[in-house]
Amino acid sequence: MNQRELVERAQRGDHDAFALLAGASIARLDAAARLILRDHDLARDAVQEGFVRAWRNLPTLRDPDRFDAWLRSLVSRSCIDVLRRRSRRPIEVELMTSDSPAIADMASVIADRDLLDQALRRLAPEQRAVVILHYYLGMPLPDVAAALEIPLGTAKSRLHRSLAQMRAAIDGEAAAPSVPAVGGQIA
Amino acid sequence: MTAFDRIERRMPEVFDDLAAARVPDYFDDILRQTARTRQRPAWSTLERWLPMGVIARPVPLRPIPWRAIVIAAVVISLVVIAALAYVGSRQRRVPPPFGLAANGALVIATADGDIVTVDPATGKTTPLIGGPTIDGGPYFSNDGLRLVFDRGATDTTKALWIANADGTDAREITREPNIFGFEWLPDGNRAAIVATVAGKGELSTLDLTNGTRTQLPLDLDVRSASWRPNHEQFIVTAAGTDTPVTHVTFWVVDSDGSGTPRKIDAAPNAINDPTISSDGRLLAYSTWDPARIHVVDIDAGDDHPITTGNDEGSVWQSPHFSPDGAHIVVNRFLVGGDPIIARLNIIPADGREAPIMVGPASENPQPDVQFSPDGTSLLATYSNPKINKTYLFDTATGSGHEVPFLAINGSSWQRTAP
Repeated sequence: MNQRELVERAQRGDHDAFALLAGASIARLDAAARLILRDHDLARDAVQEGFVRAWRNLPTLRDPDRFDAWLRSLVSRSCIDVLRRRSRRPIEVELMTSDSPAIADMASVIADRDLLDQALRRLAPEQRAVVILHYYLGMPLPDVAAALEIPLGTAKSRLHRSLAQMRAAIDGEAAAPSVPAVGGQIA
Repeated sequence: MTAFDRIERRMPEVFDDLAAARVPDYFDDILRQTARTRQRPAWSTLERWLPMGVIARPVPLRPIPWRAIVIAAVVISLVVIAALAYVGSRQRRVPPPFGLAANGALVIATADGDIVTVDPATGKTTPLIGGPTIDGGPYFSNDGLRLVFDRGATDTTKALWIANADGTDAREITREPNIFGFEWLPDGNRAAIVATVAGKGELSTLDLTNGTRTQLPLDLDVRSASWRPNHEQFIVTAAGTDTPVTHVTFWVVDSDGSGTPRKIDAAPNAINDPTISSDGRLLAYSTWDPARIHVVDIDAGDDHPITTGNDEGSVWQSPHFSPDGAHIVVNRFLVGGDPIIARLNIIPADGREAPIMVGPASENPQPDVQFSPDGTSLLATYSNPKINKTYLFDTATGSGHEVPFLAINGSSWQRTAP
């Protein structure tokens, strides 16, 4: 049974079909939510809310072939909603990393991962969302804009600014001496 | 090459390493929660689509006091009602199948699985289709004499029933697993049915007088079909041929499936279901990227947008023609908002006047809407995290009010002779 048939069955109330669809998507969406929110509990709330919304509103999805994009949008919106509901700053926690990256240059991977992690932490959540949706989930920018409920121009400029900030952070970090400098002042 | 350049090229893979994609331990919790959650009824665009996600909820039986008296009274009442209905139906004039008509009964499906008529002003309801079954998705025929509804359970097989407009003579017309569209044909004795057959959407006609089903031999993956007013034709929406499907195409198809379907000259980025003017001349539909409303003359072509697009600040979707064909109600998303909000807009079909903004600003999902048969009112039901209400708006001014009932399980407004 292909995905379209599964979506159509789920639209008609077949919960088993929905479970199959959800099972195929949840790992990546959970990871995306953790990357955006930097908090396991908030990510869990957002993903849970997104999937419940998806089940509830699935019969209204007109084009079953857009299910994946639609689900990504729902979870993305839930991430933003969760952020809005929380006045407190999201807790920064260590993200769960994979056990065995399938890349030979382990040192390079770990170094890059750490640099990227630090750069991501410095972004505002709304900026992280644009970066993650575009680069991690592979969503085209118009879809990112729609998912985050912002104009396309805002999505573009937000991505541009985010990348510029990440570049400054990563290149600065990579060029920094291994021993922390003391006595400096942050501008 | 800087460190960032190196990372940017490998960003997806580094993200993968940063947050491993694994099925989270709360996945089962989600499934338990969704299993307990009732699905929203299917899209009720022009009341064509039948709610399919109705959760079974048995109605408790109550002891009946004075049983003999009540039964006698019910029998007498039924006889009187049947006699009145018979006399009434023999004398009743019916409206033309398309265009403006007088407002008849407004019926809604209740959360308890019954279909009732409702007074739009007072909210007072009168049972129409009741009992322990779960019934929903009422949809009146064009002549207003009958209505179809779905009588479903939690399994994937749905049964379609029809009944007289007063709820009498209810009978099953089909029971199958993959039906997803029903459209009355103008004479009220036939219907078009869209169902998935071997993974492909197929269009067939059903003779309601004798149950004969005739599949139209179309080489199209049919998404929906609407009767073209004043023509012996369907307008069929079919999936595009790209993989994955990103757009739809529109076709003119003879009502018996004879001849070669003719593709309507619409934009290549059309999505979702179109709407047809009551004279059968124009087709309005939405596009994506940019998200606009287009209108095309079905025979002459001349496809053109009548709204701006998302690149200019608004996303326009879900057009519905008014009964007189002069206006189109759409959902207009104001993408500059935070969060994004949508409002109903009534726009002239020729796009030459400013839209009228209607109703509250609302987050997704968008409201289900239907015009009253006389075109003066718009019934809109919002069901989203912020608003769960049904409103009635004046189509001339855009003003309106919340009504004392909620029509999230389907509604239909009967057309009667002026």
